[in-house]
Amino acid sequence: MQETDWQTWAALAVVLTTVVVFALRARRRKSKSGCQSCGSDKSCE
Amino acid sequence: MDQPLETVVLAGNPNVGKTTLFNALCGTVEKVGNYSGVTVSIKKGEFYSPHGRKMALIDLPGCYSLEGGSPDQQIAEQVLLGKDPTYGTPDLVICVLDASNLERHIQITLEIIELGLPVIIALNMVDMAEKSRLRLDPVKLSEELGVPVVPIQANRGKGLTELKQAMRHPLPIAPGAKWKAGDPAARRAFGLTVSQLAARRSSIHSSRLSDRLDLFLLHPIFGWFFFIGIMFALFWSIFSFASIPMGWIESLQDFLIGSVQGIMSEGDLRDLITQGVIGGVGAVVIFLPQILLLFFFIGLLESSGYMARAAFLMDGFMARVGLSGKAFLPLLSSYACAIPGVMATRTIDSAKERLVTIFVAPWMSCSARLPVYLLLVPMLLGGSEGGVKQALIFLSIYVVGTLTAFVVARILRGKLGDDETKSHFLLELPPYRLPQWSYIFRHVLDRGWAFLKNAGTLILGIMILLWAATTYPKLESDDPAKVLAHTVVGRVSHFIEPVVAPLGFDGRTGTAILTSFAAREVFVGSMAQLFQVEVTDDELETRTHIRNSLAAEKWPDGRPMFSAAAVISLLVFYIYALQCLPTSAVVARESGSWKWAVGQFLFMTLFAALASLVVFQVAKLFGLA
Repeated sequence: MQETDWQTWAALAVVLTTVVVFALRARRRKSKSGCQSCGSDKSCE
Repeated sequence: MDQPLETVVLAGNPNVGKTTLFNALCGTVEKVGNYSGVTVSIKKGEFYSPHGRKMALIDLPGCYSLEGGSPDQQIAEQVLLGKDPTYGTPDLVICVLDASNLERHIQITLEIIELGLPVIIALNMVDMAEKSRLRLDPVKLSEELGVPVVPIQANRGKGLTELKQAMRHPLPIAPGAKWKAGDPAARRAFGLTVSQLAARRSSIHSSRLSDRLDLFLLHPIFGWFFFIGIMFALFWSIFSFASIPMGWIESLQDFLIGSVQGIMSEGDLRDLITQGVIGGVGAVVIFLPQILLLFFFIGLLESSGYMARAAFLMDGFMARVGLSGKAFLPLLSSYACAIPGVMATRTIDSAKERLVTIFVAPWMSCSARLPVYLLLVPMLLGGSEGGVKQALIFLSIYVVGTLTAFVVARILRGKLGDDETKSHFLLELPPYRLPQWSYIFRHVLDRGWAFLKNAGTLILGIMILLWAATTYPKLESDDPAKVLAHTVVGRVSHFIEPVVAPLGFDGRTGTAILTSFAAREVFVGSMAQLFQVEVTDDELETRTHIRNSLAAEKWPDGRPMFSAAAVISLLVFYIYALQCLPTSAVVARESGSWKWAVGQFLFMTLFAALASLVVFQVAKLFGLA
């Protein structure tokens, strides 16, 4: 079996962490409606 | 146990400086502008009285009376009448009055006094009143109304200490009405008498600078020349002034990549950092100077008073498409961001006109589209940046979006039919004022920070995932095309290519478009990664390299992939597509229905795809492909 170097494992760990963070953020940010690109209207009622 | 905070409410006519006062008291950077209807929702803050007492401050949308019909005015009325369960009955109302227009602005104060609420008058913009030769007598005004009157200059922070002193305990008691309460005619007559006593006009009449400027700027012909000229200058500046700071960002990007390559040996993690993180995110961040310039110029237009003139100029045109000049201000706001634009439709009385304006507002090209346009427009002109031609193409892009919005608004307005509430366009033309530089710079920094934060979170995440999708699963081969075809992106591209090919795009461009549904500017970073742009050491090379790399791409039969037809088709797609979930969420809230938001999203996406298809196929007929 070909040996996978440490950089591949590290890169995969970063990718996996990103997926987890996105999933958590998606759950938490459900109710927010401000524009992420420019920060407009962070607290409109 | 904590006692509930005393609630102080800022009320008054639109554009009298309530939010400027709110920012000055609370240290916030809520949006201000020199035109009516900037504040359309309740803003809440806290401040301390000179005696260290914490108080809640509520900034209300401006209203001319307590019987207004538009949603923003209803919000203000509910709070003042104590009918809003969140805020209850206010403990104190600060009525902000424009000292130059006492006759008109005092009426809402008299209505609030009739409600039996304790009132303090903040007589704002006293400097402007004195310049227009008004002799103010705050003591007389206070005696006549029976309430404390404090002259202030909210934009310079003058009079704030005195205003806070007036809020010391015990709070002022509610004055009684000295006219027949509930009788509008008696109230009007009393207001007129009091304002004439408190603000005496000099017998020497001289036309104000604002009036003299308006003779030219509101002229039926010259006014339009000026309007088009100012928009052109805005876009030209965005291209021209930004090139130097963009060079700095590129140098930083090159330095970072060089450093990583110097420290790390070859491998996946190094590729992830250089191609995914620095290359992908850097391709978006490079447009930060232009974003800052756009917000700076919009801030200048808003605070100078020209926005209201633009709305006035457009009123006749707007009437032809079934809208009023009132709808133009939300549409203008949407050039910065569709969300405040959609919110600003609260100033429109007619429900149907409001719905139509909400529907077309996302077609005003917002700042998130800017990086996409900045990448593509120079490709139409051979890759060079700056210059009049690019500014003209830029202006045309904004005009195309705006004109389509008007045509669709006309059709929709006809379909929805007449409204029970007629919308009347009553616009107060504010005097021209020098911009509030400190506010503009803070606002621009705020927006710039939000852009960077987005680049460091959402875009960074997408770039990491996209890197993984363009790298795995791996195939041992010397042919880069075969390697890419084996990856997730290669497979997705292969799958969607038949759908996007008639629009002039290959599968990778189609994939980049898909990623940009998360945020439009992601498209630039995705293109940089998907077309394997390598960052070189040569200054100015990186940015043009993205374009050079795209320009060098060819279809299997040898035709250039990014022909003029394909670039125009891409631009058309981005002018029309609604790729902003937060906008859809705000549309759903403001229209009161998710159906309206979903319908808008589907309509705009399909419209964008169809328009791209038509444009590409027609351009192909003319040999541009």
